[in-house]
Amino acid sequence: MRNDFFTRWDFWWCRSAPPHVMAILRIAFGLFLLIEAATYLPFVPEMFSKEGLVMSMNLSQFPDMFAKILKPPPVWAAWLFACAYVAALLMLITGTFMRAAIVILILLFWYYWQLSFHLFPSSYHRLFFFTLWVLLFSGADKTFSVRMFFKRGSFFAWDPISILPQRLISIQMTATYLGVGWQKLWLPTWQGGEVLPYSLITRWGSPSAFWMVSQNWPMWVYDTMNWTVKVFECLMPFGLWVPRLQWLFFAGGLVFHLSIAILLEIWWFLVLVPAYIVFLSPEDVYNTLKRHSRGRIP
Amino acid sequence: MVKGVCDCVTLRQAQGGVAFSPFGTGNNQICYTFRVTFLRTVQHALIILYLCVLVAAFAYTMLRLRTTFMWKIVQFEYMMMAPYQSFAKFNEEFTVLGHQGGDLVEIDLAPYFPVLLGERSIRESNIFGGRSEWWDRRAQYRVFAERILALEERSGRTYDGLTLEWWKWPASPDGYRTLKQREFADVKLLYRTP
Repeated sequence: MRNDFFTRWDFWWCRSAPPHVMAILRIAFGLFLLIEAATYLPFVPEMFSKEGLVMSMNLSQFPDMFAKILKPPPVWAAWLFACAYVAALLMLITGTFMRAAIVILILLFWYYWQLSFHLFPSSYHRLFFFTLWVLLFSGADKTFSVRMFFKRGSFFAWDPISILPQRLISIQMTATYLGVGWQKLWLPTWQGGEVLPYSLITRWGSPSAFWMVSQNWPMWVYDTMNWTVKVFECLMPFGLWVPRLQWLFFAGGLVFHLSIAILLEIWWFLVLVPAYIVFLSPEDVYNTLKRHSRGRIP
Repeated sequence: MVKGVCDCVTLRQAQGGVAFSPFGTGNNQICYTFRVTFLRTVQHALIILYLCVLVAAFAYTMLRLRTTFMWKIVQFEYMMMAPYQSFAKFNEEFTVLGHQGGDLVEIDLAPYFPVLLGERSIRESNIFGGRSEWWDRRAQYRVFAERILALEERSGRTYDGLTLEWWKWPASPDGYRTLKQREFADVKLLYRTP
């Protein structure tokens, strides 16, 4: 009995698996970070150099040498860091020296946090940081990568990897949905529908959100929407794991995050939608891809 | 035999019979049985530690039970777990007025915060809205005022001085800044130069 539990535990967390799920996640996540970087790139001098209104995090907590590095840099240096960030992202996406690329990304992510993003501390940037750390040890470049092209002569060649990184990301996503959903059961501000119209007309509201609230719908409409959101979010962490239902929750997640992006302009959580692939069995994903690859995937 | 082990054997066969173990101790017969090796133990210890952090963060999210156990990491996890808890019925904005002769002209700060309004608002709140407590506020206001004066001058707009204010006004479905008027707003003077 005891052995059986440990065997199952070990098998669930640490068995070997095809790398395709993590490779797809690597590419999707890299592309998403590239899109995010593209929104800041035109404004590098304003956002990340001493030519803009940039305020580094409390520098007195660092030794002098680090404090100097973390001060807002001149424009040329800010561009240099930005180029390094984009180059590392391209390496991540293509699977070229992936670990080196991720180390660079982690260092730059931390640097940008100290320099600028500590003023915009968001859940999604923390999730991105966590994902980078997991990818570092994932072997996600063991297929669909330049690495495999040089190693085995084919972009589609693959070597098995440990399933642990996939499990860590799926558990983290579950925990995020669990906290987000279940906290709304007791948070005083989420006990009525009022939270929705006010959220829609404050700083994050898009023109469509302002239009929606200006229709002056009765409060019971927002109460209903509030409860729909809460029920969905509370079920989400479980639904993602149930094979028969998970596609329904994937679709629900897409609608949910798309609505937030359209109405509240908080588009960063859309990265979770392609990441739902971590809830699928790596063997199933591999078999499906192989079936449709016309013999290219071995 | 645990369900799925057979799949793995098939998987290895597909790989041309190459045995795989994440730790390089290839042996087809025992690859998926629990072996108490040092690395394996460390790996599982880390998994358990991670799960403990998750539980602690969830306890804080739901019950506000704060543990002394690895609080910085638990807090990081909590921040990933519990976004968007509240809402406000008002809007806030950092506002800079330029002095031109006897007139006060509102300076468009959008070029200096070239991001979505929500992100700009959070950044401004953290700098000017009193949310960051660790820096010398007055010295920083002076630095910002000098910086804005220089940037404006570079764009061909000169001012005799600046007034930095923090505005707070009621939200309205008619538009974000519709009620940003002195009669509706609570205006706090942050800094004036010269």
